[in-house]
Formats: sequence, structure tokens, C-alpha cells
Amino acid sequence: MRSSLCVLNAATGDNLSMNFPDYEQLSSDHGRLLILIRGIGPNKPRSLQKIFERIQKIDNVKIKDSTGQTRDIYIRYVRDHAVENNDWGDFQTHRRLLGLITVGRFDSQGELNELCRVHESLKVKYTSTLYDSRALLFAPAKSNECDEKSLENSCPNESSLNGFKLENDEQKILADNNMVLPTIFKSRGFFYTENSSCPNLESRIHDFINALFWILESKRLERSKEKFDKVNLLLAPFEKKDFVGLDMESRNNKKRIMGRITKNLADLTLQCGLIAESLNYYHAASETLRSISDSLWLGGAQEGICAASAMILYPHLRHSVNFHRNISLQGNPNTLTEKNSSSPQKNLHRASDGSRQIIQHRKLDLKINLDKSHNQHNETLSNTSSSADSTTISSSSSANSLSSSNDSDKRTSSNGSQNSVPANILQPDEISSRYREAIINYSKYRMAGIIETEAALKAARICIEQNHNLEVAMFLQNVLYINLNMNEQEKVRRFETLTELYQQIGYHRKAAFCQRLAAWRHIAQNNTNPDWAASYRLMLNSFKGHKLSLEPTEVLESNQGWPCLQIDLLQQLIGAARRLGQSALATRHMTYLLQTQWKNLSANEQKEMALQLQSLSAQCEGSPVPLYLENGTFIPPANLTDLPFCESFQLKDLPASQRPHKIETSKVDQGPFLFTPIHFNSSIDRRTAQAKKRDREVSFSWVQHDKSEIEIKLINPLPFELQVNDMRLLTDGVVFESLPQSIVMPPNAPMTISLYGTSLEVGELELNGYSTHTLGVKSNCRLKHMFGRCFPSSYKVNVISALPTMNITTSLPQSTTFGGLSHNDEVINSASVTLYNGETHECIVMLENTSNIPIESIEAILQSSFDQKLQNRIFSYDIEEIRKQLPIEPGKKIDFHVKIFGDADFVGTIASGIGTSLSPHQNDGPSSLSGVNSLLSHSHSRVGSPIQRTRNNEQNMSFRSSTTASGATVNSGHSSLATLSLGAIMNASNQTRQLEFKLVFKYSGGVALNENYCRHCALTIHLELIPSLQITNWDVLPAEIASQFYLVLDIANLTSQEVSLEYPKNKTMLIEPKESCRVPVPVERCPLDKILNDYQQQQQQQYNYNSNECGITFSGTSDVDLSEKLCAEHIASLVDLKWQFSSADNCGIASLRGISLSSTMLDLVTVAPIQFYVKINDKEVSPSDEVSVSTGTQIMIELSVRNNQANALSNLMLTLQFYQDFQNGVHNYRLETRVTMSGPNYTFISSLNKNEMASHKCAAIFFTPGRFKVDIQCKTQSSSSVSNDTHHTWKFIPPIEVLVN
Amino acid sequence: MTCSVAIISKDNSPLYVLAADMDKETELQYNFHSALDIVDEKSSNTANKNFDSFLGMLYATELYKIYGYMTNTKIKFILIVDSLNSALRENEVRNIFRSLHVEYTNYISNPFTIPNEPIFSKSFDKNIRNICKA
Repeated sequence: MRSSLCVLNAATGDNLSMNFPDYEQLSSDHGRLLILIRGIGPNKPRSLQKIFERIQKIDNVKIKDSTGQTRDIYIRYVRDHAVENNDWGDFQTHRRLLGLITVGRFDSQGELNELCRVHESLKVKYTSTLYDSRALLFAPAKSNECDEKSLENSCPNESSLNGFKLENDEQKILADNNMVLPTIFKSRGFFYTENSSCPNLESRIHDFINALFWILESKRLERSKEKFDKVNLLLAPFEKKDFVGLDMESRNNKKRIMGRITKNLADLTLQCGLIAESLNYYHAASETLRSISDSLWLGGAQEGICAASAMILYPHLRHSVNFHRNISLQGNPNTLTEKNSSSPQKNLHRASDGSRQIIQHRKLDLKINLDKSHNQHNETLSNTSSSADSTTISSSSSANSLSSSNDSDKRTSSNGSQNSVPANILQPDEISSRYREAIINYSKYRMAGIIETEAALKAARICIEQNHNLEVAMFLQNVLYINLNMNEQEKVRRFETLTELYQQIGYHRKAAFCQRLAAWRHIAQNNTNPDWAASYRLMLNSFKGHKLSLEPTEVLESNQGWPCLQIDLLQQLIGAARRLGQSALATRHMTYLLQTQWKNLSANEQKEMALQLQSLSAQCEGSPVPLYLENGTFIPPANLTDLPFCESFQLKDLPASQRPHKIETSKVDQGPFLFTPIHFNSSIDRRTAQAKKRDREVSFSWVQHDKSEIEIKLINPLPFELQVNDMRLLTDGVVFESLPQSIVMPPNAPMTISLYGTSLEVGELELNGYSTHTLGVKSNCRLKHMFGRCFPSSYKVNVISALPTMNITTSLPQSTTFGGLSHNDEVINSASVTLYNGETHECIVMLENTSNIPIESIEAILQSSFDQKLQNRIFSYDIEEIRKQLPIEPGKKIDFHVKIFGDADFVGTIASGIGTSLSPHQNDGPSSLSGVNSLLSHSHSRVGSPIQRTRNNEQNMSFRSSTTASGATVNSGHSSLATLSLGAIMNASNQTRQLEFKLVFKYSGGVALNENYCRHCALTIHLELIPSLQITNWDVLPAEIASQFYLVLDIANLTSQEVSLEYPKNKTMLIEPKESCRVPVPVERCPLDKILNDYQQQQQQQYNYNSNECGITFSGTSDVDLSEKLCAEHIASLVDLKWQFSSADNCGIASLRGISLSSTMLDLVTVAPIQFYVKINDKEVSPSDEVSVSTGTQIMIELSVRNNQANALSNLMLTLQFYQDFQNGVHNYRLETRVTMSGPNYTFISSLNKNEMASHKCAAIFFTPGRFKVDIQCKTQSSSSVSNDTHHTWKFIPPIEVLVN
Repeated sequence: MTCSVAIISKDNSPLYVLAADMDKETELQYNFHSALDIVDEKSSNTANKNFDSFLGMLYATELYKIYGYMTNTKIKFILIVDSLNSALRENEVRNIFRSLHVEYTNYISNPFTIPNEPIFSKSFDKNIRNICKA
């Protein structure tokens, strides 16, 4: 747009150009009368403001002119007017100051005189253009009614001296104060008392405007009637020298004069409210001026056309102008932004308005044409509507208008100026292009910079109205080109105006740029009085355009804008704040810069900025409180949330020993269903809400008055040591006392720290983050403001009532290592003890209450990886012992005793001996192998008597065979152990065992107990068990007494000391270290029936509803298993081998628990169901007795059997048989030649009830001497009995030997 | 001939800025930034018509001419040329933009590129410099 022509009139660079562009000017101001309204004297601006506002409301006056036509006269009030601007009054008449209104207040005559003087001097100042003036003078309010009359006389008619007459009440006002008008005052003054309502003010102003109008109208008429050749050339201020010596009479010059006069007339006409007429003149003038290429004035005329057209097209602009102007005058940023935010809608509205109006105008045009049916008008219409080329329009229309000016005059007058639209009006689109032309014309003159600037601004404002933002941008851009010789303040104002206009069209970036430029201007080096405050203010206002917000979190969230510029702006802002001495602001902005732009800064910049901040904050410490500027701007706090950078924020549970636990109470059954698929107020969002809630809720609780910990992982991103002071937790909810922490972070390194605090109340605690004090800035680092990490906005943790704490000590030494028990963090103390197997130790456990809450409840539970039975064998304590001592008052201690027994399997070599498994802990019950045993024996018993017999024989010999090491059968498995060397056994079981147990105490007290909370703490007991004795082999032998049997044990001493073993009947035996010895222990036989019965009764009670299966019958393997088990238990309960070290006083017992017995052993162990009584020659014989008889003599043998069983036996066969034992495993039963029997050698007993006896007698005669043995057996015969479906044989063992001489 | 180039993301933050004159970088940055207003205006106006990527000259200052170009994905290219360089025709500017666009497309086709993140690629920078010097 800018003309590339070289600038004309370059030489005339003098002071004639005006220096004060009127940035507020609008295109509609072309049609306004300019009135200066000025407060004078030492007034209170407050009281005057009201008067000003009232005057300014009168901006439109309708006046009937001489032809009876109503003229719409618009007024523009200004507060200040440069006299130089008047110089351009010839060029554009609306620049002339026509009226002057002064407003003043006086208290005394002197002041009144002064006011009058000022008024007169103002008149003189603007004398060249001023038409008329008024003074509004306010006297002090005096309501002295009494003075009224007397004073009325004293002031007769002085006022007439000044050329006008004061009204009565005004005279009175003057008189009331004993004042007179000074003689110099030659103007019309209006006098009011202060605070009066001035009812006639408006009408007086109307009159004043009327007066101005008539003068103007007269000038217009004068001008319109002038002859062109008689008037002087109108000149723009700078042109005066240019026309010196030029031929004024030339044709060109005449045209120039004419053109300029026409233009001047057009201006006046426009001001007088004849818009249509003025358009004609403007068109004519532009035509004339174009022909002689008088660019400046042509521009003026073109601008005039635009202004006049705009006035018609956008009449609302004229009305609302004052409103707009007032807003912009106040310069309130809030209203400005408001306006901006609503501007798009407004623009739309305006646009639609505009188009509607245009249509309306067109219609009117048509109507006019129909009425008048002037051909030329038709042409004009067709021209304007059809051709798009603006220049052709203008030329044709102006040509038309020239020729038909009279016609159009008539037409407008006949139709009324208000409703008609002149045909030569510019279309909205043309206005901007015409303005552009005007500006190009202006731009050819350097001196017309002001005019050009103003024109561009006016054009921009029109384009805003038209919603042509690009055009606006273009015009505004052009403003910046115009090289004006202005001082810095004016430049700033220019930028501010541009800013405002850019903001109106929503170009916030441009606006921000202009603000930035303005800010620079304020503090430019060649600015004589830099205004840092203004610069600061402007920069702050440009935040929006740079997509910055004063709230740092918003900036981080939106993450928009141009980082490079944002940083630059902020740095300048900090500089300005420092210059202003506002170190608090500087610190705040620096913090803001670091916080928001961190990621956009290079590492070096980060370091520098951080150091800068440190130095800034040395002057004024930053703290997270909002700052308020003088103009009410609120600067929210900036927090350095990421310095140091928080990587994780973790709430820690209390240490396990202090963790609160819910005391389990038996669940109250609410109904049969544990889960219901029905959700009563269910919805998915509730579930998601719960999930969200769960996110921030913590599964554990904290305890009141207990130190809680939060672990924070921080990274120092700076390359120098960062000192962070006074780190505290930010909490919400219950009162929380946070312990401050100070750290020094190494450069560029992560660090994990813990923050501690104690909650003083019970309830829900919210943890929002932490506060820091680093680089001299206090910051509240809230989790929700830490972006890029998925922290919840807060963590919620439940704080429960205070719980007591307890300490545990024992009489035992502490163990060196804590073992690997699963919850070993509950453990607060440990104890270790070493025992030999079978040894017992009693220790004391002391519980101390270390809190100030009494412990009211304690529970003790033993935990280990072993089963409950074993635990109970090893540990024994009495919980009642503790309970009796409760409560434990604060600081007190209680003791209680725990017995520890070195439990072990002394009978433990089966597995290792046979080599199937080498497990150190042996089964309590019968080993699987013994199961096999019994199975085999059972099958044997079923097969038939011959085999059974051989088996029986073998079993009879079994004990002997153990010494001879002959048997390799399964049944003699125990005995086969003897073949293993003792060393091997010792190797297998010589290991010390490490056992670990945990004694857990659950204790509680105080309020928390009622809330069902308790604490757990634990004591680990490390138990080392050293093998003492080991029973390697065992067998049973019949004892001398039938009610007893001998348990023969091979006992190995696995210790390194001599052990004295005491087995019953006070017999002691010494066993050398690592030696083994065999000990027979007499044991009462096992009354199996009785035990079985008891057992069955128990079973029956357990399964009483299922008695058919499990009632009386015990059949098959289970029967044998069971009886073995019961027998083993019987033995174990009876036999306790006491041992003692000969040298030391360690003592203990060895139990036989877990001994396994084969079924043949069982026969010996159990009390025999059949008891034999054998009499030979009426003499009682006991087993293994030897009877001597001589050959040939008859011996009487009487056999009696007695049933010891609870059940009756039936179908028994009692037999007697002699045989010879050759002691080599061969038995000779064929003794027909050696012995003979008289009487049957067997008898059948059909039934034998309990305790019943049956006897049988027979006699035998030996023929040859020798050794014989008697085999006495009692067999069950058939399976008719309930209890016996198998063959069962009882023998009288050992057989009686008969020595025959 | 040198000119300055800025590539701007769809949410109007800079992706890549090449300043011809490093001394005037800030000034150029401001020009790039304020040109965005006009880009926005132009692109919103032409949205419904047959859209041309080349937005023409956005505005001119005493020193610079500023041209704009917008891709279909609202990535903006802004070119600042010395206004003394009158030899530059609009067609040439169009060509520069086109080659810039191709270069950018090549860059963004890299599967490891994260869209809308500032560009630090050295080869991209080299190529852009070549275009601007051509």
C-alpha cells in the first residue's frame, strides 16, 4: 500500500507538522463540532466529573435550519487540544476547535478572578478558530436566606458591563458571596452554587451548541456563495512555503483553488449535518483535485467521502461513540478484555446489521427512482450496482453528482435528509479501498504523517465495524510505517492505541507485540525520562497475547505459546521490576519463569536463572502469597514445584511392630449371601469413582501421636549444590505436626529423603504435597501441580487413636541372626537357646510398656513353620499368667515364664537305616514302611495256616535271629538294622537342628482397644537342638511277668560326653560318648482292648451319625495300623528315659514317641487275649520253664485258657504238640516213636466269653530220654465270629521244655 | 539470499525456528509470533473455499516481508524475507514453501518422530538451511 514514490516536500522538515496525533479520532468525527471542555482552577476533579459527564451526554442536537429542515448536529468534546492541530483546520475543518466550555469552582473573589483569567487566556489561545465560549462557575453553597435581600441591592447591574446579562439567580449567587465579576471576563458565564442540581445546564449547553451551529452555518453559506477566483488558496500548514513564487493565476492553480475550496465546503457541509450534500461536494472536489494531482487534498477529499459514507452506512457508530470513547479513556483493562471476548459475536451482529442496512438503502434508492424517474439517477444506480471497479464508480458517480448537485439537493430536502441515501455513497467494500487510496496520497507527504496516521486508524475502526480483520491488520500495520517525529511518550501512545485495536479484532499476538514495543519505548535509551512502571504494566498486560497466564499452573497445563518470546518477556519483566525496586515482584516473576519455562531453558540457562533467583531472593524472599499491584492486579503465587524434582512420593506404613491391626471379631452373619450382584444405587461411574478414590486412599492407617514417614525421591536438576531448607508436609484434615527437614542435594543427583510428622488428632488426613525453601523462595509443592507424573491430587490416610507400645526382653541371650520368618519385621527382639534333645529350659520373658497408655489386653500366639503339635511340645507357657498381671501401666514391666523343651524323635533311624529317605524330621506316626509291614503280615495271615505257621516259627525265633544276623525278611526289618554300623546312624542323625519360632504378642489399650485396634510385636526364639541320645534298634521280649514285656532298646549316645541313663526301677547306666548300648526296659503290656474301646468311643462320638461303618468293626489294615499306633502311643507314654550328663548338670528325657511296631511285636506288646495256664502234674508251669520227667512215666498236662478280651471268642481250637528242636532250624514233629499221648491232644471250644476259662486235660508218656518241647496253641477256627474273620493263633511262648531222663 | 523460517504446530507453538540473522533472533521471533494472527485470520476465512496452502504475504514491515503457508494438518510455515530483496517473486516463495513442505513431510514420515514436538534433527536443519540459501 505504501507508495513507492519518493516523498515530496522532503525539504520542509520544520516544526510546522503537528506532533500530537489524535489517536481517538473516528471517521464520524468529520461531522462533529469540536468543543474543548476544560476544568480550570484548583478544582476537586470529583465534583467536576459529574458536570463533565452531563455535558458530554449532549452530543447530538437537532436544530431546525432556515429552510425548516432538521439538522442533526453532533458534537465532539475533548479535554485537551493542541493549538497546532488547529493549524490543520483549513485542511479538515473538524480539526478546528469551535467551542470552549470551562468548568471551575471558586471560594473567593480572588479565585473567581483567577478562573476568569484562565478562561480568557484559553480563549486567546484558541482565538483563531474559536466561535464562542462558556464558563460554568460554581460558587460555594451558602444558604443564608437573610442575606438575600440586602445583597440584592448591593449588586445592581455590574454584569451588563461584561457585555451580557446575568440572570437573577446567578446574580444572587455572586452577590451571596460578595463577589463581582472581574472586568476582564468577557464571556458568558453560568453561575451555580456548589451541589446544586443545575437544572438548566442542558438547555444552556443546547443554546451554546445552537450558537455554534449558526456561526458554522453562516460560514458554510458564505463559502458556498464565494466565487472561486476571489478566494485565496487554502493551505495545509506545511505548504505555506511551497507556493511562494508560483504562478497563482495559472489554470492549474485555479483548479487547485477550486478543488480545495470545494473540499473545504464539503467539510463544513458535513459538519452542518448535510451529509448527502457533502458527499456531492467531496466527489466534486476529489475529481478536481485528481486532475491536477494535488495528492494531499485529494486524499482529504477521499477521506471525506469515506467518512460521509460511513456516517450514513453506520449511523449507530455516531451514537455509541461517546460510550466507546469513555471506556477507552478510562483505560480499564478488564472492560477491554470483556469487550474483546464478546467481539466476535458483536462483529457478526454488526455485519448482519450492516448488510441489512445496505438492503434497506437499496430499497430506498429504488423508491426514489420510481418517484422521480430521473434517468441520470437510474444510471448512477446501475453503475454502482453493476460495476465492481471502485474507480469507475467514483468517477462516474462524481461526474453525475457534479452535474446534478442541485437535483440531489432538492431531492434530499424533499425527502428529508434522514431517510434518503445518496446515490453516490460508497459501498461498504469500497470504503476501505478508498481509505487506502487516501492514505497512499497522504503518504507522499512526510509532513502529513499525523493525518495519515489518523486516517489509518479511522479506516481501521471502520473495518472493525465491517468485520474485515485483514484490512484492519493492514491499516494498523501501515501506522507503524509512518515515520513521525514524535517523542517517546507519543510513540508509546501510538502503540497502545494499536494494541487496543488489535485486541478488538482478536489479534492478541499482534496486540502483545505492540505492547512489547510500547514497553520498550518507555525504557528506550534515548527516552529522557524512562517510565519503568508503565513499561512493567504494559509487559504484564501482554501476557495474554503471549499465551501466558499469571497463574503458573495454568501455563504448565496449557503448555502453549512461543517459549522463546515468553522467556524474553519474563526476563524483561523481571528487569523492570528490579528497576522499580519491587524486589518482591522480581523474585515472584523469576520464580514464575523458572517454574513455567524450565523445560524450555537450556541447562546453562537453568543454572543462570537459578543463580539469579538466588540473588534476587536475597533482597526479598519469595513466599507463596499473592501479591497485589497498585492497579489492583493480583499476582498469584509461583511455586517451584519441580526444584528439586520430585520423582516419587510414597507414604510409608508404620514399622511392622507398630502397625495397627484390627482385632478380629467373629463375623456376624448378615445373611446367607456373601456376594450380591444387585447394586442398589449402582452405576458404572460409581465404580470408577470408587476406583479413583482407591487410588488416593492408602490401605494402611497411621496412629495418633506416632511418627509417620513419607518417602520422597528427589532429583536436583541443577549443576550446583542445592540447599533445601525447611521441608515440611502439606496436609489437610486433621491437625498434623510436620517435622521440618533440611537437605543439601548434590548436583544433578537423585536423593531419597523421608519427611516425618505426627498427627495430633484422629480422623482422615490428606497429604497434598510438601513445602520447600530453596533458592530463597518458599514454595508449596502440591502434588496436583506436579505435571508429567501420575500423582493423585492428594493421598488420604486414616489416623486412628493412639495405641500403646511395648518392648520385649528375655532372660536369654539375643540371637546373632534374625531368621527368615515371613513376617520378621514385626520382630522387635530375639532370643536364642541351645538345648540337647530332650532337655528342658525355662526362660523369663519381660514385657515393658514404653508408651503412656496402659496396655489392657495382651494375646500371645506362637508361630512357626512347624505344626501345632510340635510347637506345643516344645513351648509351654500360661497366657493366664500374663492376663493376671494386666494392665501394664506406662513404664511398667511384667514377667512371665516360658518352658522350652528340646523335642526330638529319639526313635528315628528307620528311614535313614533303610535308606528310603534321610529327612531330619521324622514322622510322628508310623512310617510308611511299617504300613507295608502290616500289609504283608496281613496277607500272610490270610493265605493259610502252613505259611502262617512257618511265619510264626520265624517270629518265634526273630529275636534270636537278630543276634545272628540271619533274617533278611521284611518282618525282621527292625532287627536288620543291627547290621548297620553305629557310625552310619550317627552320621545320619548327628545334625543339630535349627528351629525358629516366633512369639507374637497382640496388645492394645486405651481408646484404640474400644475401636478394636491392636498392635503386634514379636519375639523370635532361635532354638538349636543338639542330638543327645538315639534309639537305633528296638525289639520286644516277653518278660518274666505276663503282664509285662521287655522293650529292648539300642541306645546310642550321640553327645561327646558320658551320659548316665536312668531307666525305670532306678537303674542307671553309663553310656560312653559315641557309644551304643542295649537296655531292656520292662513295660506294662498294652491293654489294647481297653484303649481300642476308648478310641472307638471317641470315634463314635465323632461320627455318631455314621455308626454303621465306623462303629465296632475295625477291619483289615486299618485295624492293624490303628492298634500299632495305639500301642506305640502306649509305649511312648509309659517309657521316659531320663538321661543326665555325668559331668554337667544337663538332664533330659528321651521319649519313645514314634516307635513303630510290627504286628508280631504287637502280639507281645498287647495284653494277650488268651491267657494260658499250663499245669504239668498239677504243677503250674510258666513259659520257658523246664520240666524234668523220666521215661515211661506219665505226665498229666492240664491246659486252661482264659479270655481276656472284651468280646467273646468262639470256635477255638486248643492244641498241644510235642516236638524236638534240633537247634539248627529244624523241628521234628514226627515223634510217634518217642512219645505218646493219651487223650486227645486238641479240644474244641465253641465259645469263650470274657473272663471265662476252659480247660483240657491229657496225658503223655515219653519213651526215650531227650529234650522235647511243647507247642501249645489256641486257634480260631472259622469266620463265623463277628470280630474275627481271619485265622488267628495265640501261642504259649516260649514253649515249655521237657527234659526226659 | 537468506531468509528465516519458522515451522509452527497446530496449536501455535514453534516446532522449528531458523533465523537468518542470529543477532536479530528475538526480533524475528516476535515477527513470527505476531504473523500467526494473520495466518489464523486467513486460514479461517479460506476454510470453506478451495483452500490454498499458500497464504501469500501476511504483512510487511520496513525490513521484512512475511509470507505464510499452512498445510492441511494446520502446520504453519512462515517465511521472513528481507524486504530489500525485491527480486524474489511470489512464485519463488511458493516454491520455497513447497520444498519446505516436502522436507517437513519427509521428516514427519520418520516413524520415530513424535508429532507436535520441537524439531532438533540435524539433517532436517541442514536441509532447511539449504532450501533457504538456494
